[in-house]
Amino acid sequence: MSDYYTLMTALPWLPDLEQCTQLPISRIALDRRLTMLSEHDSEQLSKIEAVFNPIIDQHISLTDKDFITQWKATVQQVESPRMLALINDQMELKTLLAALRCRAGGLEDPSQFYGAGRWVQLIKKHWFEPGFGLDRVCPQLLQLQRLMAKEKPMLVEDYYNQQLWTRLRQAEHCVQFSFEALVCFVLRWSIAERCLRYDGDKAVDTFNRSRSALLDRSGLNQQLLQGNR
Amino acid sequence: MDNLIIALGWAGLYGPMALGAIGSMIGCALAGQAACGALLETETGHGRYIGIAAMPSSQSIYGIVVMFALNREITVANAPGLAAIGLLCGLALLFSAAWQGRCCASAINVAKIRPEIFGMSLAPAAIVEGFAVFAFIFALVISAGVPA
Repeated sequence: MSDYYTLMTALPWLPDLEQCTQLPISRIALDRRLTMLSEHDSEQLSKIEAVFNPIIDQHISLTDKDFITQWKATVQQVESPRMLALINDQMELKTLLAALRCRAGGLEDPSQFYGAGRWVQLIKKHWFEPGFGLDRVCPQLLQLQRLMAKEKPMLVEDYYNQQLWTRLRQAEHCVQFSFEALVCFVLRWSIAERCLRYDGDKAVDTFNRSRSALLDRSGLNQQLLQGNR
Repeated sequence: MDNLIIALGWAGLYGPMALGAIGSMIGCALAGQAACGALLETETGHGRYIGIAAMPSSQSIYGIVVMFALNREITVANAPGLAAIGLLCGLALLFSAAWQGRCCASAINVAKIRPEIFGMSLAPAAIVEGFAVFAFIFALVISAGVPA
């Protein structure tokens, strides 16, 4: 009952995402505070962070199907029901976003689409409907569609981050001084850190690396080279 | 049977003190842990965090006073009354102290972020204290009716 009182009050205040111009605590200082956690809690926190914020470089080589399989395996190791609900919420939002992007990118066969959560089958079934038949149950979808129509990926990303931030903060307020509250803080910190780190040049660099990795994997490069010869 | 009734009388006599002390231990420990965390995060105002952490100790004092008010020669005639008043008052003090500790921890947490709301943040803890005072005062009032 009292394990997290010292740790929670030792963490600084994170302002709203749009007002967050600098991080109130560095990762080094945060990790130093997190040493107060038990070994089991540290492991759980790492697993939740891994599913909430997967490191792009580690997943470039995976197909969507493999990624989802790996994600499901990791999620099963999360013990907190509240955190599981938040993780599933995030994945559902991500799935919606991926579906919109895939469709906008010209994917005609919905069976090639992979995602996780309650809505995957509905999305596949209603692939060619504007709102995948989810307009009424998922209000975020309309906003995502609107922002995607503007062709400004940063707005979509901001909206996605804002949604996650709001859900995490609500959950944090419901369970003060608990492991879940701590995890919500760490996840919000990582969202703020990611937003403050946004850098156009780095994004282009990451895109180029992803593209090269995907082309190498598909063997398209070799075919192109052979074709040129 | 008489022995059991007498034992209950003794439990009622010592109950407010013991249960109040248990509550104070829990409350002060929770608030104290929160205060320790706040010390890491702030440069000033450390004294008041420690001060808030001591708030749930008052229930122990109420318990001692009620114990003295109930203190008399325990007989089969007065033991049930002593048990009822003492144990119920003790439970009220226990829960109020434990939950006041949580209120104090929250007060420390928000006062650390915005020191200007320090006074207001203590209101929930003060309200909980109010209920402990009710339990304490009316235990004193009712104890007068228990035969000596």
